[in-house]
This record gives sequence, C-alpha cells and structure tokens, in this order.
Amino acid sequence: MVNRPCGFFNESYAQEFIIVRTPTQWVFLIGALVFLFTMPLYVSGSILNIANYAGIVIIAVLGLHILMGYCGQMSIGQSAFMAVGAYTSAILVRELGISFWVALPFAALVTGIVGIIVGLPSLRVKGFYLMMSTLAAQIIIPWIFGHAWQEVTGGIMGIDVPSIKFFDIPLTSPASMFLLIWIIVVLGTYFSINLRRSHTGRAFIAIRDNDLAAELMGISLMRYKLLAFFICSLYAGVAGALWSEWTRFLTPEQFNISNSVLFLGMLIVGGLGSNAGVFMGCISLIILDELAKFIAPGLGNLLGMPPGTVAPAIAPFVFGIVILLFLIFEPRGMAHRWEQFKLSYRLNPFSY
Amino acid sequence: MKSKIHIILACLMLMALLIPVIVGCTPAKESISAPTTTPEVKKPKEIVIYAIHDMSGPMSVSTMPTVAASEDLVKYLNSKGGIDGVPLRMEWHDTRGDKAVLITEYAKVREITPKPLTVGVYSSADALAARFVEDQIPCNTTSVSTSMVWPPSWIIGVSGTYPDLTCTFIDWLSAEWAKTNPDRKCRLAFFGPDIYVGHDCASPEVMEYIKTKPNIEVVATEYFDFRALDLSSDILRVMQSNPDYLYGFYFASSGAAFYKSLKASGFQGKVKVATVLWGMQSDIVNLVGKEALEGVVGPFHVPSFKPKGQKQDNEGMELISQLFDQNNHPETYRGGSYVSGMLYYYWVIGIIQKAVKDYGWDKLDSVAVYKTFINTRDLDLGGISRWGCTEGTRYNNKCFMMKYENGVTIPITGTLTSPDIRPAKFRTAEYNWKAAGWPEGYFK
Repeated sequence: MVNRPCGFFNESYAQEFIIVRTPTQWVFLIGALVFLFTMPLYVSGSILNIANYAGIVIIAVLGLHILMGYCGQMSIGQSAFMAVGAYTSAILVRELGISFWVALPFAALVTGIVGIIVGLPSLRVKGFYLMMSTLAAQIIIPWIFGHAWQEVTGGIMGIDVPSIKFFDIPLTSPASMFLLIWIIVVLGTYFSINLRRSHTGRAFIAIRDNDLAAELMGISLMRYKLLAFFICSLYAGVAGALWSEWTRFLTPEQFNISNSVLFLGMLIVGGLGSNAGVFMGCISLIILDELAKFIAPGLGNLLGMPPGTVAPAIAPFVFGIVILLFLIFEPRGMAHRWEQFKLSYRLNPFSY
Repeated sequence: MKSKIHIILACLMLMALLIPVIVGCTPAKESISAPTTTPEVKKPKEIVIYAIHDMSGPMSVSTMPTVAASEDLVKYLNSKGGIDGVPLRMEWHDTRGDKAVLITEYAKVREITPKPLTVGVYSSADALAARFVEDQIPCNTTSVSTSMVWPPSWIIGVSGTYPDLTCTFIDWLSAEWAKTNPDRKCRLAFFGPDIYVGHDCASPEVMEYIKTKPNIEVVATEYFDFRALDLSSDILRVMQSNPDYLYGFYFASSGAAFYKSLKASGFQGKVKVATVLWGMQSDIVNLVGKEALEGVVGPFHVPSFKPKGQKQDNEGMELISQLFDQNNHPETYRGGSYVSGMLYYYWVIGIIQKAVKDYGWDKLDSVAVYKTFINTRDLDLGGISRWGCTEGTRYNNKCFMMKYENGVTIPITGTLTSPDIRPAKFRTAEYNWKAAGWPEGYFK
C-alpha cells in the first residue's frame, strides 16, 4: 500500500481527485519542496542563476505544454508571447512607476489577450498551418517592440528595467530571484496538473484527440481553443515578466525564434502532455548544455584544438543530437520512459 | 487530503518569502583589506583575464581572430615574465550571441574567487550594466554602443561609441568635401542593419551634429535585416535618394551581404562607402574579396597589418605580424580583427599592469582596476594606437580615419579626438541617477 506495488483502487470521487496518493509520495513531495526552497542557503549564486533561467523556461514551456500537450494546438511563438509579458511589465514598472507585483498579473493578462488574437486562426487551420500563423506572430511581435513607440519600448536599443522591490528592499540577488521564480513555478505546475483533471482540461484533451468528435459532444471548439491559447500566453506573460526582472535589460532580439524552437525541443524531449515531462525536458537540456560548456575546454585540449574553438561548437551539436535521438528512439519523451520504468518496478518480478 | 496540500504549500511559500530577507537582502560585508605592514607582498599565482564573447552565432567570424590574438598575446607576455613575474591566463566563456547565456555565464564568473579584476564582454554588455555596478567589477568591451556607456557605469570601451565615431567621420567628410566639392553639399545616406548598432550610428544626436555642417545633407536613413543574405532591393531603395556616400555598420555576415549586393545591383564604384569600425575587417574580406572593399573609408582605432612578407609600418605591428606567423593561424585570420583583438587585450593587460604599479599587489582588486581604467587619459597601445577617456566618460575618444587600400586598412589621418556625442539627457549636469534606477551615489 505504501508504494502501491499491487495497485490502488479509488473508492470515492474525492479519491479520484487526489494528486499525492501514498505516504512515500508525500515524503518525496515535501522533501523536494524543502530542498528546493532552501537551496539558496547552500548553493552558489551561479547555480542559482542557472536555476532562475531554468525556472523561467519551465514556466514558458508549461504554457506551451497546455496548448500543445493538452489541447493539441501548434505554436512556435512562445518566445514572442514572452516578449509581450516582458515589455508590458517593464513599461508599467519603468514608465508608470507601478509595482512589479501589480505589473506581473497585468502583463500576464495582456499577453493572454494577445494570445487569443494570435490563436484566432486556430479556428480555421490546424497543424503546420497553425504553426505558420504563430510563426507570423513570432516575427511581428518582436518587430513591433523594436520599431513602434520607441520612446517607451526603447526600440532596437532596448530599455533598462528597474529591479523588483519587496517592501523597499531590492530583490537583485540570485537567491531572492530564485525564490520568486520557483514559487511561481510551483504554483504554475499545481495549476497545470489540476487543469488536466478539470472540465476544461478534459475538453482540451478531447479536442486534441479528435476535434470533430469533441464538437459533436458539445464542446465549443472556438471557446476551448482560444482558452488554450489564452492560458498558454498567460504563462508566457508571467515568464516574460520574470525574464524582464531577471535580465533587467530588454531588447527585442532576446525574444527570437531560436528560443521558441528551444522551448519546443524541450517539450519534445520531455514528452508532450506530461507535466513531469516539462520539468524533465527543460532541466535535462539545460544541464546538458552546462555540461557541454564544462567539458568543452578539456575536450579542446585533448583534441589539440586552439582555445575557445570547441566550446562554441559542442553545445548546439549536443542539443541537435539529443533532439534527433529522442525523435527516433523515444518520440513520447522522457516522461514516457519514466512511466515505463515505474510500471516495471511495480510489476517486478512479473513481466505484466 | 486536498486541503493538506494547500496548507503545506502555503507554509512553504511563507518560508520561501522569508528566506530572501535572510539570504538575498543581507547587506554586503565590508571588505577587509590585508595589513599593509607585511614586509613581503604576496603576489597572486596568476592573473586570469575573463572574457565572455560571442564565440558562436552571427558575430563569431569576427570574434575568433580576437580569441586567437589574445591567446597569442598572453603566450608572448608570459614568455617575457607576465606582469612582474606573475603569469597571465585567458578564460573564455561563449555567449552564442544570446543574452540569456551571457547573463548565466557572467553569474559564473562573478562567483569566482578571487574576484575577477575585470571581465571582457564582446557585445551586449549593457544587459549586465547594473550588475557590474552592484558587483563592482569593471567590464571591458569592444563594441561600444551608447546604451552600454550612458549612463556611465562600470563598462569601459576600447573604442569610441558609434555616434562619436560617426561624427568623427562627419568632421573628416565635411573637411574633405569642402576641398574637393566646395560648390555643392555632400549627399549622405545612412544605411545600416536594423539592430542597435545600426540605429546608434544614426542617433538623433548624430543628426543634430550633422546640422552644424553646412556642406553635408542627410538624404536617406534606411535599415536592412541584419540576417538577410541579399540586400539588392534595400540598396535600390536607398540609392533612389542619389547619395554621394553610404554610411553604416557593415559587420560580419551582414557586411558581406551588403558588399555583395552593392556589386550585384551595379552600384559598386558609383557611390562611396564609409563604415564604422568593423566594416573593413578581415572577416568581411574573406567573405567578399578585397576588391569589394577597395576605397572604403571609416573611423577606427586600429589599422590592420600588411600582407605576409611585407614590411610593417612600425615595431608594434611587426611584432604582431611575427606572432601571427609563429602561431600558424589560418590566413583568413590575417587582418584587422586579429590586430584589434591583440590591441584590445594589450589595453586590458596594460591597465592591469598600471593598476599594479599605482596600487601595488596588496591593493590590487577590481576597484583599483576600475579606477585605473577611468583615470587613464592617454595610454600607448604598442605604438600602433592610443587609448584614453575623458572625465566622466568610459570609452576611448581617440581614433584614426582609415581607408581600405590594396588589402589593408591604413590610417589616412593622424590620431583624431572624437567629438562627444553623448545622449542629450546626459548633457545636463544634474542627471537624476537614482530615478533612473542606479544605486545612489555610484557615479561621482
């Protein structure tokens, strides 16, 4: 019962809704959260900074996961949506003197509305055609921030973003940013897990599996597809607002298509439709990237290459290879592999 | 069960909110200086020069000769005893042209003990401007945009800002035009990439400055896509204004696209081209050939060396040429990027050396290096060029006008002092630093 080796049978509707089912899971959850939120006490600032980047990326990819993994709608514009959130938050804080704590939800809301507008073609087109329409947003949105209303957006030259204040204390250290970002990651994940089990989440999944059948069952495609875009963009808006405070300097080129592709790659490696997969994909690729940077100088010396020549090549090379290998050998991502591992552990020593 | 999750999450959130007060908001500890009475000053085992450069991505063609040059320089200086017997070492970090990577790489560097004396950032240093101030680490940079050095911070540029350099060109052009065409105005078109450096060359302050030159008229200001491979239609558009000169930032692969498209659209030789800084560098020549750049002029602080086998203009350049040959670099690296990379780190090491001399080994830290940077008014760079900043500015105000001729960039003027084209808001004496989000009293 403790480790569910022989199954766990729900006896009421309330039990159906339980996320954490066994004492072991409780221990792991609490342990993980305690470990996470005490990390600033024993981890260096540079690692916290990487964790901050990972946290922001996870929030953005969680949004993409809701749109693509739950609802089956394609998007290659997540980085542009982040730009909307980042600029909205930065402009509110910088130009209007509004507190970041107010600017954050407002930025998320504005990004959500932009997401609805960009998502409108989803009512007519699907798959790669929809991806093309989000690609258009990916091109147009950063261009707008670079060229329109330049006295406020800073145009191509960019703008400084004042640091967040918590009761007049600036939160500029990696530790304070870490806590802020990862609280939002936890909340975002909790919302995403619950969304899947809600009426809305089930409607999303029905649309993903067969939109015609879903419509015949009375699910409004317009409402739910646009809602998926809204939620996806909401996450991107939050990620963007945090990004603006993490970088404290915004230029449109930060929100390029490479980042959107990277987010998509993380989702593929992690596994579409799985919350755990989002974490696995993002964290593993970021760790891999860091490892590549770490081993590059040594590898360069080993190969007798001039200093600085291996490091630039190895990280993109590793990223490309990993995506390729996952697409060939495990297209359902790391999360699927993890589920298989758990299943075999539960059934051991039996094969099924 | 569900409510349990809420309670536990709430407790953890509360705990997490309190930790910043304990961890993140603790005031910085006062640094304790070592006792000065120690008779034997302990020198460090080595001096590490940290460099966070765009070693991959669109600017890498220009960066890699810089990397090679600085490694050669360090090797050479170490063979001569380093700085007062202390060897030097370069440590490279790649940004991939991505600001997020730049920030995470800088976060690693700032954690290193002992604290870095200075950090080199190839481009986009402005993304870290506030952090350099907070960490009190001077940043040296080579591609100096206005937003990097205004408001003045801990970022110091080896060259002038793009507006300063552009106006140096304007001064030269005005004088030259008056000699050759006294009867009519020079029709100047700004044509640059649609990125911050492109816009910086044609900033409002530059346009104001041009108005003071009665014989120069700006007939067009156009931008093109930095990543575009063909610019023929953009060139046709700008050429409709019938300019005498095209001026812009023709850099790396976009520079190659510009020169190729200029030739393809039949305008090569029909309009004079001027470019700031990197547009005459070896990386461009490798991509488009020498002929495409023949006659191009522009302001720059470093000339290039002459082709292999030819006698160099001075001893410094001769040495650089020898180092290049000794280290067996590809011939494609031979050119201005290698020389400018060499002089860039010669400048950084020169400043550290000066800081050692002025402050001593026991007081050598990042603040000492910063003070040395900002108080250096005229530093000789190997007899090839000079570096110096003025009171309140953080970048070089010296350069030459260069011309690309027979495969090399040669100075066509002596050392020039660039006009001060700072953004208008920083011309007022009482700029409100605090309101702009900068720590109070950081700039005095």
